[in-house]
Amino acid sequence: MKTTILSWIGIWVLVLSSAVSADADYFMGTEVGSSARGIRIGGVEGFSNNSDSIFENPAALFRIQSTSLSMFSTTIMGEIPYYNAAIGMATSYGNFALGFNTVGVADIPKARLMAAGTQWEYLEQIGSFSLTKSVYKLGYSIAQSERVHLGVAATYYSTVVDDKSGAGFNFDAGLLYDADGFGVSLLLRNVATGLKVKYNEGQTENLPLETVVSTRLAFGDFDVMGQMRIIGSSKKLAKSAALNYTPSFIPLIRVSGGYKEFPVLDEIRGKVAVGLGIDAFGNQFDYAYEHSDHPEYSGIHYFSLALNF
Amino acid sequence: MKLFQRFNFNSLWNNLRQAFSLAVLVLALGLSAAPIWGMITVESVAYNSLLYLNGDFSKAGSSTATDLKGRASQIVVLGVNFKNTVQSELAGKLVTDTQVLEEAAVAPEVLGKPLFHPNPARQSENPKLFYVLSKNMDIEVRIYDMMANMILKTDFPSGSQGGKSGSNWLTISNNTFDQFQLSAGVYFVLIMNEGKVLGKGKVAIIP
Repeated sequence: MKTTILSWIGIWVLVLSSAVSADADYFMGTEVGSSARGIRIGGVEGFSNNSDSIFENPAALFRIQSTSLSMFSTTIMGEIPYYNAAIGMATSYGNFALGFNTVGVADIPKARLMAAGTQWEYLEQIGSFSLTKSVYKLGYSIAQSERVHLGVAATYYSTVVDDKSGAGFNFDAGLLYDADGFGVSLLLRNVATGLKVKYNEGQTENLPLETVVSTRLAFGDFDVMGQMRIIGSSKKLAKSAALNYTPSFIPLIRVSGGYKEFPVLDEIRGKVAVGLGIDAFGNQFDYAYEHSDHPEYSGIHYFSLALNF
Repeated sequence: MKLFQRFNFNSLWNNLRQAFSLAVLVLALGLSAAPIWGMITVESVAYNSLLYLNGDFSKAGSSTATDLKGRASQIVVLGVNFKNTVQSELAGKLVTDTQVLEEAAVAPEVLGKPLFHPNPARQSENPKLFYVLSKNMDIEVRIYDMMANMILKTDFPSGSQGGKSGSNWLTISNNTFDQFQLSAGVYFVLIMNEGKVLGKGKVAIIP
């Protein structure tokens, strides 16, 4: 136990002190969230009971009892479909999970310059193209003790835009302490900072390192959660906090609200999400709502389903 | 003498003016390397507003037009500054539309689709956004990332580049985002006037 924690601290210090190149950070589609449940608790990671833990802390996969199937979708700004799905299984060798996430944009106009060099220069559309970003994850969780669990995940990132493409892979490492009414989750996402997404024309993008520390504390019918993330090459600190209410008189309903900070360009912004979930026989349907400052889509709705067999 | 008095010199003069206007218009459009089909008769055109034709130019601010052969024209007339009489022969049918088109009567519109060039583009290539406004107006340009986060909001006063009648060109460069390197992805542009979205564009940024 002591060795595990010391090893973790060693890895952490090593990773945080590593140099990061001046390349742009890769767009992490998973930043949207991996489930409606996760979104409405402000993105606090590590406390899911389902296979969508593969997108958060893989150590949390230990909670899968047999087989877990998770699905999540939304449409952003009316034209960006976002999907993810994960399946996890408990085995005598530990718990495994596979995850897939995709986000895409179609009908991006391609134009050519007409009447170049004259005062009547204009653009004419000559076609269109699309962009697709996909993430594939393979995760594994093993118990270190009854309350301490370790997890690792390998991630493959892919981007295709017009006739250009890029791909890269990286790893996540997670540690989880889980006791009745109290939990701590530690996660290093994209821990191999030297690995990048490489494009077919030679350009690269950083896979942003994230260090995530999350806690959960139960008070009667309430769960109070908090999280701190250090994100990307800028090493900005983003905080989250959430409150989850499970009425003891209707235990299959959960109502949650959360605040999440997140990076946008070189700054940290915050947003609030609320929602509710229904938990019936281990199967969960969740909904979350987030406000948007987009003039035509003032709110984003998220739905997710988790089936546990 | 009576017959001579009935002869309408004004009509002759108007016909000559129209013919001259037509010749100038066709020449200007030809020089712009854009194909023009059929005959267009226009009287009194503010030539500095002439960009290209893509509309039923018998009405100002319109953006859907076909040429005389029924094909979508690659030539667009910005009707915004048409002052007096517009006569055009569209799809083989003579259309005569006489109206005074003052700018105040022109609806605030983005004509056609806002486009980027190049697209996809590297940020260092300074991709340009092109859009056509039906009239001078205050314009707010917003850019959103793929998670609906607004990453830029800029105002362009009426009459300035970005808010002027006709074509507007705006450039995205490293300076636009204070040297911040955008992640590869699609960025969504909204062109707005008084809180109303007039046009939308998309640009894909590659590393």
